[in-house]
Amino acid sequence: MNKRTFWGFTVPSVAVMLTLMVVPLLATIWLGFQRLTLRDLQNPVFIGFGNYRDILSDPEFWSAARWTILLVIIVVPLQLVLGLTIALLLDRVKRVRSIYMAALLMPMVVTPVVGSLVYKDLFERGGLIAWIWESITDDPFLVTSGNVRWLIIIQLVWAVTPFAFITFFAGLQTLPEDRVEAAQIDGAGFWRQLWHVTLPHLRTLVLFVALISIMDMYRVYDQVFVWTGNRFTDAHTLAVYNVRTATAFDIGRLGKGNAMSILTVIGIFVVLIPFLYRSYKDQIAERN
Amino acid sequence: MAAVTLDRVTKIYPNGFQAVTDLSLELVDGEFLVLVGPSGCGKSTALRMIAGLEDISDGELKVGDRRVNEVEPKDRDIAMVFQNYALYPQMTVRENIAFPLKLRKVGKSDLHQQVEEAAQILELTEQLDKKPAQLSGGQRQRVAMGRAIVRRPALFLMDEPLSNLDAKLRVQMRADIAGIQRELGVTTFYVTHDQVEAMTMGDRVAVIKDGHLQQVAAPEELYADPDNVFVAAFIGSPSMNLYEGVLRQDGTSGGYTVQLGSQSVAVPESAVAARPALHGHLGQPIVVGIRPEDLEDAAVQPDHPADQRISATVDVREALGAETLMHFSIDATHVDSGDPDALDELGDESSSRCTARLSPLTEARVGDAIQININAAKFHFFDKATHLAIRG
Ligand SMILES: Nc1ncnc2c1ncn2[C@@H]1O[C@H](COP(=O)(O)OP(=O)(O)O)[C@@H](O)[C@H]1O
Ligand SMILES: [Mg+2]
Repeated sequence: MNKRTFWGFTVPSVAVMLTLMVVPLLATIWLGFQRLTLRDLQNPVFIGFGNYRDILSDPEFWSAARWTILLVIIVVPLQLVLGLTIALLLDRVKRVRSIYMAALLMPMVVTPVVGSLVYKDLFERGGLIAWIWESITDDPFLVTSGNVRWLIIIQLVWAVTPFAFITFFAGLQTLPEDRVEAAQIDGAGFWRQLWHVTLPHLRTLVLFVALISIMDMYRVYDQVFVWTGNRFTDAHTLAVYNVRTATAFDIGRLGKGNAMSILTVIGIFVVLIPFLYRSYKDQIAERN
Repeated sequence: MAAVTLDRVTKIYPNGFQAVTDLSLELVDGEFLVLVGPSGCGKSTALRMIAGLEDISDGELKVGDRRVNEVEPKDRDIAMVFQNYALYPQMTVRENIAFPLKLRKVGKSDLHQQVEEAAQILELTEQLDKKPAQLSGGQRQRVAMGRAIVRRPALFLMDEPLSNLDAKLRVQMRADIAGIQRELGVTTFYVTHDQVEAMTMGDRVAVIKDGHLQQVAAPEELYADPDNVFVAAFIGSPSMNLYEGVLRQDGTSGGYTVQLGSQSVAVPESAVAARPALHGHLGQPIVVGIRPEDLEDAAVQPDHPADQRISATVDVREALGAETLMHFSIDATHVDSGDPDALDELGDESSSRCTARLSPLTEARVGDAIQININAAKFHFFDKATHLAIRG
């Protein structure tokens, strides 16, 4: 291959990568070391790890981090189990599949903010669930710092399960039927088939969905903000904390916001290492 | 004792398609029965009904004396080898073979011993700790067999197990499978569309077409004495030549001749005497079958009766070394055997293809007009309307 062809093919993609990924990343790292506020955008001041010190000593950051990790621990497994269950159920349905499919994919199609607002309406005065609650308990339904976390979890599970479902459903379509039949003849009942045939076949997809969802949980913003606004600060996730820090009116500490982003990237990376290692090993194994 | 009995077993798919009709078969203990037929004729359907993977619409299936129509696949005491092996990719060869035993809660030491034994029979001992992805096609096939034989089932089902292997390996595995089956003595029901496989492997061969059983017999008998036109054409390669002809008896001499298009061939009296029913067809069109090996170049075999000869012009010559296949056309009407996989008749209606298996000594070349001896004693005769063999 001559040089011109080589550059002709590589330069465009390298240029796009540089401008969209590398430059912003470097800018973020640089900004993380500056004191930079909305009021005084022209004069960043280098303060070393000052922003990081601030963040790591802020109890609200730790509260947000704990809550975010709790969300990962609760929502992701729920999403995987529910998504798989629904996929297995729909796989048995042979007729009017597309209708179920459309209904099940609804949460994925709806804009997160809209979904959250509609869902929140159910619990507001005059909303269906609030009304049922009131007719049963005789008390008006109130969002409190006690139940808001549960409401967020339910809302999130609703929002992310379709992604798992559609991925697993697609995976099930590629499961060779004779492998299932072989297991049947070998003597495997439903659970054994699930364990020895279906799940191994879906394994990489389960990993993939888990990976994406873990990253998503770090980025959860809309659903949480719709529920909490600036109240219930102990139900704020890292993303909400981040935005609040960076844009808090009158101060708006952009430098701290950027430092926060770097911390998030590191946090995600640490959690993902085992997953990445696994899929790396799988790929090596498949190549042999 | 009958190991497995199918009694008028019928399959109607939910869409109304009747894939198998009144299939009755009896598998003798320890025998290797091959079900053969063109693709789409219902072989897999029949096998899957026996395995319990498809419901039986009508009729009865028995393993030993037990009716198993409603029994779960795993409780039928049947093992199956699939066309695409259907191994569990995440398990090692050892785990694959052990899987059915593990599910049946066989004790650890027994399990280990049985797996080792199966691996030994199948020459897989070296591969036991590999994953299926690391094996060749032939080895995967063996693992699939291993998984079936460790269970020592009452019946062994195989659905075209060799069709994914290359030609050379297929020939070897053919012998291997037959050998292993004999060694283990497990009753085996084997499905294939390849009549060579059927003939070489089966103790008995069942021919099926469009869901209807045509004939069950030992390979030699099937070849020598086919029940109908379909079996005659399906078994044997190259196929039997089939034409419309008329059998006549000469008023004065009493000798018989068969009219094939514009040529006539004398038929020995003994051939007619062996099939008295032929007398009912004298002077009427019947189906006449000639195996390719019952034809010979007259130049190579000059002492053949001169009245059992036809003349023809060579169209295609295939020298195979041990024999030479010669294709020519004759002006008799070709009879369609009903095999969907058969070659379509080429050319115009008035002439039909004829294939002869000649001695390699023949010197005939494409375009030559030659005399061809017909071993008329080996003629096959079938009813023109029913396509059934005319015999008794
Ligand atoms: N699930 C099904 N529903 C309807 N028709 C089917 C089904 N499975 C197979 N068939 C039809 O039944 C016939 C026999 O199929 P099969 O037993 O697979 O043939 P073979 O194994 O001899 O090639 C075919 O015509 C096929 O199209
Ligand atoms: Mg088939």
